[in-house]
Amino acid sequence: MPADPAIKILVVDDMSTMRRIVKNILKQLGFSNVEEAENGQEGLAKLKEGGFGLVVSDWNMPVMTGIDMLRAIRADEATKTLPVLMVTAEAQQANLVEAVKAGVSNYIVKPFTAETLQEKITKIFP
Amino acid sequence: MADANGHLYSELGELARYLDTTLRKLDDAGAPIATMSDQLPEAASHLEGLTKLTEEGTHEVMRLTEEIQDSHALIAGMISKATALVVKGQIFPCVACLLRESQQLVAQDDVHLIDSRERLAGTLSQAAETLTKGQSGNCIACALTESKHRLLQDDKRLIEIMTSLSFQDLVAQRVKKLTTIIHDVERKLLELVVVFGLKHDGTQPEVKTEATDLLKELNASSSNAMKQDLVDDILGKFGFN
Repeated sequence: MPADPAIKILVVDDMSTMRRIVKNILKQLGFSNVEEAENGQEGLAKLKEGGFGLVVSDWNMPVMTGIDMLRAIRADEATKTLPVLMVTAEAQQANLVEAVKAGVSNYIVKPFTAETLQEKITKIFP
Repeated sequence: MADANGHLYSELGELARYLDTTLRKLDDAGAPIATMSDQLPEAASHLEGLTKLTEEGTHEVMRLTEEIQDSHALIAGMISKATALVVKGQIFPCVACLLRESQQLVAQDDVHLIDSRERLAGTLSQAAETLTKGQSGNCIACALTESKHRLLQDDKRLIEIMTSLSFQDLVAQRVKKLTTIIHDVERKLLELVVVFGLKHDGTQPEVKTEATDLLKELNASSSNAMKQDLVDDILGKFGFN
């Protein structure tokens, strides 16, 4: 089922520029209900508020990394099926394998294009 | 037995000379090591400043890009409205009005996409003129459709500008890794200073290296940098208007 434009999306990245870029692209793709968090811990706190339909997260972040947040999301009954899209500069195969094992929904390597983000969202919500 | 003792003394003498030379060399290295360990925190601080500078610059480009995107959304809405009116054959002056407003918006805010926007402004202007003269609507609808198409093309370019700004994140991540390495080297140098007692009492002459000069230049450029407001105030006091 295609992504609902009203879906609430959480963008987690320690870099304010990356959060703004992802938010802007999502807006251009028709998704304007976007919230932000600066690290995994803050992301998990936001997710507790409920109502999120997708998480777009970086990997390398202080306090709590994206992969640790992903594991926490999958371990929580309330969020275990929540789609998580990893957007990261970690382009090693080992990273990708680790993310897949942790239950990532899809994986984008930085730098990326709007088309790539759109394509991955379409794959998550076919 | 006497030969063996002589050989032992000779070996011990050799070892003592080697230790003495090594200690002297370590002592000579003391000042450069101490100076380097002093400089490293500053170098790391400049690298962190670099991240901040690129972050600020990137946000400014994003702000301007977002303003153009918002303006595009408004113009696209007006063009759609105008197209609908033309297709329905409704009153022309009202359409001309919308077109002029669109044209003004196009002219207002763009210096970056000049060529494309000038073409768009020309098309809008032509459409408005034709409508004002009360000419027929079919070609106007075409012109409006073309204008909207060009706007969409520009929107794609704007998204490309936005995404290409992700370079800042990649730069920041590499700078962070460099800073970590510098801190690690600094820690190891300090360990050397402590272990070998290579004290740097501050009265020793500074060891001049290219790095020292570069660091001085960096310090001068960051600590002496003035904000434009302050520059203008000072210029004003000298009679500059």
